[in-house]
Amino acid sequence: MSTLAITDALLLLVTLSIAVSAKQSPSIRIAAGLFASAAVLGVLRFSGLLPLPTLHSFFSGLGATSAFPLLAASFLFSTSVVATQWRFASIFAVIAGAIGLVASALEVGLWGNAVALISVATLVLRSIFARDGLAVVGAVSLLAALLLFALGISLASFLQPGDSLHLFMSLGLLLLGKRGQTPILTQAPALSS
Amino acid sequence: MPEFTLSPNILVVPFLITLVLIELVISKVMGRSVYNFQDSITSINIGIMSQFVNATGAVISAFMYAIIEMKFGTFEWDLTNPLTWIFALVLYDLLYYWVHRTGHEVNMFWASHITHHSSDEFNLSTALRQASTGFYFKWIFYMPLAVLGIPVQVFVVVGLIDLLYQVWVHTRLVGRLGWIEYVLVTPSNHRVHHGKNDYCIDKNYGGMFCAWDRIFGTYADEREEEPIVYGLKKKLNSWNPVWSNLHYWASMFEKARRQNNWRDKLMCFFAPPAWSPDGDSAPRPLADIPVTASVFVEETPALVKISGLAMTGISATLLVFYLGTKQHMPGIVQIFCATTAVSAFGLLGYFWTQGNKDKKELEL
Repeated sequence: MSTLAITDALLLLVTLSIAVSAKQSPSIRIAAGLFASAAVLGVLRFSGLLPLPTLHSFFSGLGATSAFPLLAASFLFSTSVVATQWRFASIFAVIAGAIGLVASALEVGLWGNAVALISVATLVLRSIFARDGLAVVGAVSLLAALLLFALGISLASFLQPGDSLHLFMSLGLLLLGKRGQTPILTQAPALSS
Repeated sequence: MPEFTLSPNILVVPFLITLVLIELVISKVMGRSVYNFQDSITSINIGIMSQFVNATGAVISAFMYAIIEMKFGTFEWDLTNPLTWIFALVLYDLLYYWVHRTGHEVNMFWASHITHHSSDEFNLSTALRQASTGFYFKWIFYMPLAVLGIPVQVFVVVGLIDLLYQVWVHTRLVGRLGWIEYVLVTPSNHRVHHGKNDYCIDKNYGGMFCAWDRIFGTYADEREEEPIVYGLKKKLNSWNPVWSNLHYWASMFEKARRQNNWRDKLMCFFAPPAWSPDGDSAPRPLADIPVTASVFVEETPALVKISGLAMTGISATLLVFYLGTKQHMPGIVQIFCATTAVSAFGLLGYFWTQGNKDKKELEL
């Protein structure tokens, strides 16, 4: 069994626990659900139980183009209808996913990476401005996950770059999931003051 | 002379118009009045115009579908196995349910779909009253089929079956159908969907199977004690095919322009159609809405009737010719043809609307 299956299983546990938690906002639960879909397909793929590489790739793409921006929107605008109502969170996810699909069809390969990176970078900045240590560590973990994977860096000789992505995403989402239950926006000092 | 290629969608045009004529004759024989001349001609013209636009617009859907299926298609499907087709049809219908529901419950999608509901009548010609602007969002909902690897030809065929099935349910001449009401979408079931009575609003979105409405809680039975009133709560009052497609877009943008902040401006597009800045999204009861009077003459003058029939006959013929030859036209020529058709419908629709207006009403 590949280490990727084990680290993807860890990511699955974390994302699933967020997705089913009634304490989380709808947008965070939808984002976590999308990540969980990719993770379960990853477990099936890398464990060799049921390899569906194209489906895994599709849901990973949705995670990048739809779930990351939704996650960012949940924290940046934590009282908005996108963060608090299933209906608008779903519309946001569908539209962001559709734009991602168009980009994929037009072979704009960088779209998913760019959207995910910008979303996470925004999360990092927002957490720093909010002076929220837990959220900063969570957001920086997500940033590290994306950067390590993009640069093909492994954490150890027996791990693959995909493992870095799964491990840091698990850590990042776990911490942000904790923060998601008490939105950081409410704790942030007014930026204009 | 460009080469003419006969395809199934060409045969659909005379087939549907023939069905309308058959229903008209049967209704006359039964002594039922279910047709209004101006309304029916407008419905058919809206349908013809939508075919001019969607013949090109549908290419976008098919293109997106084919690309996604090629890149992410997960499974191989045996096209000789009937179960493949049945599975694809059922899944297509489930996705259609959500396309349709979104078309009613998200304002910027309702702006497209409202065209189909803009008739005050309910008959087979209403089925032809299809929007010309819906292609920009509908494809998104069918992507699960592509990701599952259902081939594009299966997608197109089951889509056509689903669409054609929905034609016959637009009739007032067929009553309730016993046990079939529990399985399939029927005329009774669909009459409720087109009603503006309070109990009809946002109900019965199913295309072919009514199970989706029952599962997702949007099913309503037709009530014999409460006759259904068809059409929009705010009457369209236009026989112009172009305006019937654009009037709601215009009012939606105007409503957004009037809002004072970006949140409310965005809500005008993504909230339910009944949304208002005070946060209320519930549809207003029919009794609370002022009745819009019709501005049209009740009896259409003979000359206007002839001009309407001529316009429909000529445009239907041109559509058949266009659909048969467009495969050999460059994309830019297709767009030019569609634009010309829309412009012609806009112009003729304007004059036809003016010709049908009740002058006394205008003087008042």
